Amino acid sequence: MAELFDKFDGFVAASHELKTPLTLIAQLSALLQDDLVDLTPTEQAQALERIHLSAQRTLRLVQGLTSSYRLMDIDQLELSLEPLNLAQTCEDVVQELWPLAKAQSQTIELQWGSRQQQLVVGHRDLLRSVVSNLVDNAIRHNSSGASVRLHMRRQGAMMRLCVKDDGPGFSRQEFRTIHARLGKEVQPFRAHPTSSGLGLFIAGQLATAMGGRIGMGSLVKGADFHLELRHSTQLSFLT
Amino acid sequence: MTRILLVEDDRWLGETYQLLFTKAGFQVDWCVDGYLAMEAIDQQRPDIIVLDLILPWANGLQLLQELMSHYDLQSIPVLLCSNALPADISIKELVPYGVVEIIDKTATTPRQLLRAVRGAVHAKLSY
Repeated sequence: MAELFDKFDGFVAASHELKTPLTLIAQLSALLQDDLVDLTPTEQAQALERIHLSAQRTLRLVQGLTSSYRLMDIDQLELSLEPLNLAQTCEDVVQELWPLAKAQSQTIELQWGSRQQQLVVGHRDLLRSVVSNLVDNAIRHNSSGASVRLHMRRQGAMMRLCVKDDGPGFSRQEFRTIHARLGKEVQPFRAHPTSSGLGLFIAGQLATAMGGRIGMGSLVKGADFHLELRHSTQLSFLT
Repeated sequence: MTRILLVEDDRWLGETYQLLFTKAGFQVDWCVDGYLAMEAIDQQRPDIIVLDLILPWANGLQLLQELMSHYDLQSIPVLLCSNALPADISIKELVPYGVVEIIDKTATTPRQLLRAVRGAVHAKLSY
């Protein structure tokens, strides 16, 4: 019964998370179809861009949910893990999400130089999904005109990717609650009520499946989430 | 010109509604949370409030309670909007808080929303 309730909670959270971009798509497309108000060509183009970006975001959420659901039936040992270039994955994700950031007058900064020591053990699709979730969250909760910053550093046997934004961040109480429950269950954020925390939940599940984890650091302003994965030395000499 | 206070925390949805109301001839003040909305009301009293239910820091119901506690603000009509309306929410319970209509954003077109706003404005003027 408890499992059923868990599934139901996840279902409700997923529905809520998907409603926001879908509502925007419905409203904007209705506005474009209707002759209710005169829209300039610029306003029409912006509406179409936002429909497109919102549809892409909805698809990313659905793909993440699908991956997360499939993992319930897969033992971690069965998951095909390989050395992956974390910097390259980040660059691919940033390229994909750049239009979303640009549409909100934001920039995304990749704060690293050499690609040495940036290989991690992971699954190509899952890694991309986790990074995509963290960056998407940062863009959504960031202030207009601000930047999302990605940087990484080696921590012993692990490689840590940090994603920071300049949004409203969290109260001390929220920080403690989210920090304690991060990735373990879906949780609504009071500061970000349109978010059910589903993106972070999915990211946590996928990170765990790759032998890593997600976490958060404290900032005076904004949010700071990170992904930790095992560092790989297997192919270092090839990079 | 009729002044609408739009309280909506989703950036793009807020901009969409602001565009809709502005093009329809309303003056629009847009706030993203309940506290900012109270500040805006203090500065310039709106003729009507289009209020999202779930907001950061101070939600729509808290803002309604705050409006109720100020005698001079009780007559401002409120359209309560959300894409996550509780199943048991009832207009009857919310009428004393100034709510004239409850709007499900997922099932309401811009045309229907505009009609509801115009209806509320018309009712207020008739009153």
